[in-house]
Amino acid sequence: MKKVLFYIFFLAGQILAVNAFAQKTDTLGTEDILNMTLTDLLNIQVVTASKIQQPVNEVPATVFIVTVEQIRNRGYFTLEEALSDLPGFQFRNINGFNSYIFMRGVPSQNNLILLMIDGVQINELNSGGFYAGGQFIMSDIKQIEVVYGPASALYGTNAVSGIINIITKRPDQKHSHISIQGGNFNTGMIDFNVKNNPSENIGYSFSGQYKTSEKANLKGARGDFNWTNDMENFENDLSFSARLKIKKLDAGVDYQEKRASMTTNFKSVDDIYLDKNSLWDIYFLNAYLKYLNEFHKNWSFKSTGYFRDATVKSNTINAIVKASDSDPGMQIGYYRPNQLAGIENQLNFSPSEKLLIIAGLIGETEWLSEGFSETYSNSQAESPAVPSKPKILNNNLFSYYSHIKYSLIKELSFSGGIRHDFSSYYGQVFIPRVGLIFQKNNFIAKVLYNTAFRSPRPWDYTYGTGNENLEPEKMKSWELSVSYKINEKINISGAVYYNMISNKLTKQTNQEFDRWINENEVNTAGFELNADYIANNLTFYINYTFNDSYDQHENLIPEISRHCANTGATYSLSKNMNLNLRANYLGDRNNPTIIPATGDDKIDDALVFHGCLTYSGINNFTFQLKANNILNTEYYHPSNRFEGRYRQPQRIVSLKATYNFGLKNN
Amino acid sequence: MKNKLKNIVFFILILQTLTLKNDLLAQSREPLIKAGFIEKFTHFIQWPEASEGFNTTNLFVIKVIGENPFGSVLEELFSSVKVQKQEVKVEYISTIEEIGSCNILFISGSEKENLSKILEYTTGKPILTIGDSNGFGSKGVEINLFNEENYIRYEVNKSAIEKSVLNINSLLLSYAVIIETNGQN
Repeated sequence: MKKVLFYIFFLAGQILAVNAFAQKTDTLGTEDILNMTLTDLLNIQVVTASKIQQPVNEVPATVFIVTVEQIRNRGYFTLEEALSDLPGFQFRNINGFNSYIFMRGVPSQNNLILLMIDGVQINELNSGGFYAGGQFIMSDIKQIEVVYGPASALYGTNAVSGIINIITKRPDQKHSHISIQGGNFNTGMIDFNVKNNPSENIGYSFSGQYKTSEKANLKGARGDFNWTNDMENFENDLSFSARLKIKKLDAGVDYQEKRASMTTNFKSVDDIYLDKNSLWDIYFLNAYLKYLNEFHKNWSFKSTGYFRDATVKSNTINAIVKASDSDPGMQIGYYRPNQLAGIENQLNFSPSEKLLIIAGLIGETEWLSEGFSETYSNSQAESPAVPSKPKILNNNLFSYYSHIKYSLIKELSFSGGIRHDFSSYYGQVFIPRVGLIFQKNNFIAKVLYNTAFRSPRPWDYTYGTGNENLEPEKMKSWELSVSYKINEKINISGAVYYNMISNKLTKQTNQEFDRWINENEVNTAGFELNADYIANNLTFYINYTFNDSYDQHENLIPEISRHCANTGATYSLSKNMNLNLRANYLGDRNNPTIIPATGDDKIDDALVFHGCLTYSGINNFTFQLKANNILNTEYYHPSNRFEGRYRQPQRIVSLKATYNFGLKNN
Repeated sequence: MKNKLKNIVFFILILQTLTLKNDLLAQSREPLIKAGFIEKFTHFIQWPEASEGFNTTNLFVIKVIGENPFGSVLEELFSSVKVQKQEVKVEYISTIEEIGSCNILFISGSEKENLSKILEYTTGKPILTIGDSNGFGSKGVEINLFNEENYIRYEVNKSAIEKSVLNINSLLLSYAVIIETNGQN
């Protein structure tokens, strides 16, 4: 309580003192403007790293932006594709109902990264892990902000390895389009978007998308004989998004439904499972209402109410056990509804360029299934009964947070903050962070100390045989990041970090079932290097990441490679045509188990090339020819599910046609 | 001891905030950023050789017609840079007759009523027209700056550009809101 009072008085003192004497300043000069590139001038600002809009160079974190141009020119089809060219990302793509994204050397079930759409979290509520894949409407994304490192001091649980915030396009331009795409592996997509602003203060948009893909050929020998030649695999995604802006009010609804085969979740050869007819049917419904009032030149207030629903639908067939001579087999039905409602009120006070204070209050209540409700049919061919509603747990959360950015001198600013959670589920957690940001001319350096935590969710407690005694995973992180703009065309940046995770949840396997236990530490020492070049007809990037992730016994963490690198270029062949080529390299890494097909636990390194040709010279049409894995490289990802590895997709070629109505919003 | 330390830190920080009183008065960034955009546009646009005959001053000439929204920042910004290897001259004019043979014409919002006559003059000439007023892009101004939630963006009237003798780089288009109208509305 004393701590709370201290911070309240501290903030009040700062506010009173500054308000009394300070006047607004602006240090931006013509020299700064001349040193900026066009994209700088477009002033890409981020809201994620500090919960308010700030230029990237001023936020206390390493931030990368995937821009709308990159999404369009590279033809990104899924979320993981859009992240794959950034430094620091590694993947466990199971070619199934989910794909797992590892950031800065920490493997997880996607529950150490916070995923948001327009600032509202979309991690699955019961497990805390987000779903990657094709359900995101890529054509409606304005930018993807990727914040590296822990951010629990602002966002609470799950913001451990980093944050990914998908910012959708604003509904304030007149623009509509329709796209259709087709390719091998029965890959298809149709999407549309309608935007209109009938008056200055009103704008609305509506987007929809359907995607389908069989992803890869994993049949028989092509998939290490994990599955039969009759295996079925698919992912079908249906998504809608609506936005309404009326003066200071913003409302949004996002609906995503993913229907995917569960075939790749298990082996079917030499195992009990059938590799067809299963279905994982999960939907995410996010709705929000935001009110932003800049009621004074120095003060602004933002209130956000939100409702989230992440439900595994009752028609889900998690697995089908094959019939045998002695057993008719069965289908296993799952059902798991989860809802959350919350409100966040945030006050921003910026009496001068030297001082920024953010303070917020959050209240949430959630209704989570204690576990899956399951039903079992009487045979392999018979559908299971619809599962009943499982027992629902009600959890409440109250949080307050406060952050300050203060310019000590013109070139040096201090950034610090705290968040204090009071949860009926995981108790009290107090999270601090501090940082220093130095900026002079074209050079920026950030020294950061961050902490984070992830509270176990119902899924962790009940997975397999269950474990009631799980404790939160905790992380401490030190980071130094620098960036230097050599000239208008070339920018280089780098980050060195050391992360310590304690109480890491680790899958413990006994003879029949698995469960999660707090056992491991994950200590990661690493660095990232990145260079960007932008000229009139050419943009080019290259990045390299080194991760040394090891546990408390000095053993390397499985699934994490020490080396990864990405490079790519977009070249304007003419006014209406550009060509993008890019490459992803991931070094060798260990599989969690021995791989039967090779007899060891090594996943070989791989270099994979992708390309995309875009032409927009015929009236309002845009055509895009895209090839993933151009050279048809055979490569694999690890598996933490069964003894084996996951073959990655062969070459996928697709063609997309887009028709833009009226104004074309690029 | 801890409380004493906190109090000391608290008062030091309050004292530090008192030094803020020397801050400069706020100035809006918008004119400066818009001037910056104009400078960046010159990197992505190629004026034809013919323009050397059109503009015989050996200077790269930027003219602002109507009320000057930039103050002095346009001159300050271009005083230290060359465009197309030429020194830059910024002029402020009030009539169509004064447009003459400039390379860039910034059309102020105050010229809304004269816009069609101005565009009639510039069409077909190697003059890049830039505006920052709502609707100017769809009326035929080649590049129109606008404010989108405190970010400066720009729209490009592709039809007007294609009619002109200027060569615009596609990267400039890729960041723009494209307008396909022909400027007749």
